[in-house]
Amino acid sequence: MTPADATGVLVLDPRGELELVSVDSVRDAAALLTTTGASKPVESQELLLAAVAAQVVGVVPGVDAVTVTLYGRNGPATVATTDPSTVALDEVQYGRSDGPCLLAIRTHTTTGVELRDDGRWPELTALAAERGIRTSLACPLFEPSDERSEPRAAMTLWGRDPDALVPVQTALIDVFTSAAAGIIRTTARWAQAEARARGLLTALRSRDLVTTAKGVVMARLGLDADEAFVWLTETSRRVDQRVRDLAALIVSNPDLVAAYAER
Amino acid sequence: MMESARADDPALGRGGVDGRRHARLWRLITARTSAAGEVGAGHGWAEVVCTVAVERLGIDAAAITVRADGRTQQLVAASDDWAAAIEELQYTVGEGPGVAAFRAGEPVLVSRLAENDERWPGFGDEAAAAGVGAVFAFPLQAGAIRLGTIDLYRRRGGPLEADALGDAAVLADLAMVAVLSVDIEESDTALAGSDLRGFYDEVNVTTGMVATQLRISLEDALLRLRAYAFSHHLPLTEVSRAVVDRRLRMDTASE
Repeated sequence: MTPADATGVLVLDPRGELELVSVDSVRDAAALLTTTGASKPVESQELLLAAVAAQVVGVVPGVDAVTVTLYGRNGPATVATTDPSTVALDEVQYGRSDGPCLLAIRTHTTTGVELRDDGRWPELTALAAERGIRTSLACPLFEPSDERSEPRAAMTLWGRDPDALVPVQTALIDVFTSAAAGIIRTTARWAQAEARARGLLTALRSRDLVTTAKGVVMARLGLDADEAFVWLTETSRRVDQRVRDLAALIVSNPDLVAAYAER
Repeated sequence: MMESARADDPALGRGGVDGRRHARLWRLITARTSAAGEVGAGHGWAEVVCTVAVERLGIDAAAITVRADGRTQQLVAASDDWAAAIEELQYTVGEGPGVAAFRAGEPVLVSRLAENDERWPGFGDEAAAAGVGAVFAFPLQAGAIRLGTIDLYRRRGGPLEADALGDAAVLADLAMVAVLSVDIEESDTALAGSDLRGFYDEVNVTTGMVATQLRISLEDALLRLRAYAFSHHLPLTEVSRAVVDRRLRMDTASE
């Protein structure tokens, strides 16, 4: 496995091998999207993250389980794990909006915690104790960024031996956190490119609707093209409706033009 | 990024030769766009893709058109007026290799246009008259989303060479990227400069007018306009402009 640098991402090539690809713009992501022909990025994101998580357990001494947390539209969620029973340890943090993993994401700082009774997170500690977990190391996956769309995510390493994750083997763990970050970033860019394509089609359809409505208004009110457009925008303001929505109504029922003109 | 399960699908496998092909064409295009200082402009980018297509594929002209369901069509770039006119012909008659490639989601390769007359009776005759010998249309597609086509035109009949065919498929990918790099907020203007003949707004206006005047559906109105344009050997946009300027009325000039 190759560590991803700041602008590179790991992708699974058609032969099933991981490959490092540079992605630093939506255009690159769009290129990636067409060249790999990937059709279900979200599915492969979860599979790839699970694969990385499994490697961490296999390679980093003292790690018994790994979870990956990613903020989505509905807040944080665990998107990959090596042990389903540890998901509860993430979820108790989400419920409280507090915990080492969320702290790591918020502060962009790797947060190592020995889960003791007198600690800061008693609920988490109790839940962890039931599963024999005594320590956690939460690693943020992304640097602070001005980019609003930068994902917020962390990888949490869980251990039974309270001393196992100290001292932190940063260099070793970095390999995996940057790989996970690359996977998440690629998926996010993918989604952005797809949203762009949809937005483009919506914009074109809107224009179709508005121009068609213009023709309807011209025919009904005997206006020329410019006057009809002015009529549409003024009416849209007057009845407090977006031009596109007004256009859709008029196109589906031209009789509405007279009704609007009288109002 | 992707599962290996469908690696046997030739459309998905982009390693090896195809990967190198992609990298080479990609460099050609980025070198030009950087040189022209047009980085980031989807419109300029799409034009470069057309230019590279003409230079590399042994064809005479290329055009990139964004298509959506129904009546929506927008010419994004064309290597010359000839290509733009033939794209418009496809719009006028509502059929042709580009329209078919978009609907099917796969390339439509017409190496001898005259022989395909029964497939597109309207398009075939007019295009042949305009000097088109062969057309090769490739859909712009990413995952589940299909955005349009890149249409390649050649005066001489005959198939696209195997190597050019590979390049063409890659250029279709790059055309998709070019279209996607257009800023959505500005896409109304960015996608089609008013200088380009792809500005089909008048046709929509006219369709709305005619449908309202004759109390018929938009589809029927467009059909009438298309029939009128086709039977008078006029581009749909020209007929539309005449209707918008009230120089022509569909009900009196019924065909």
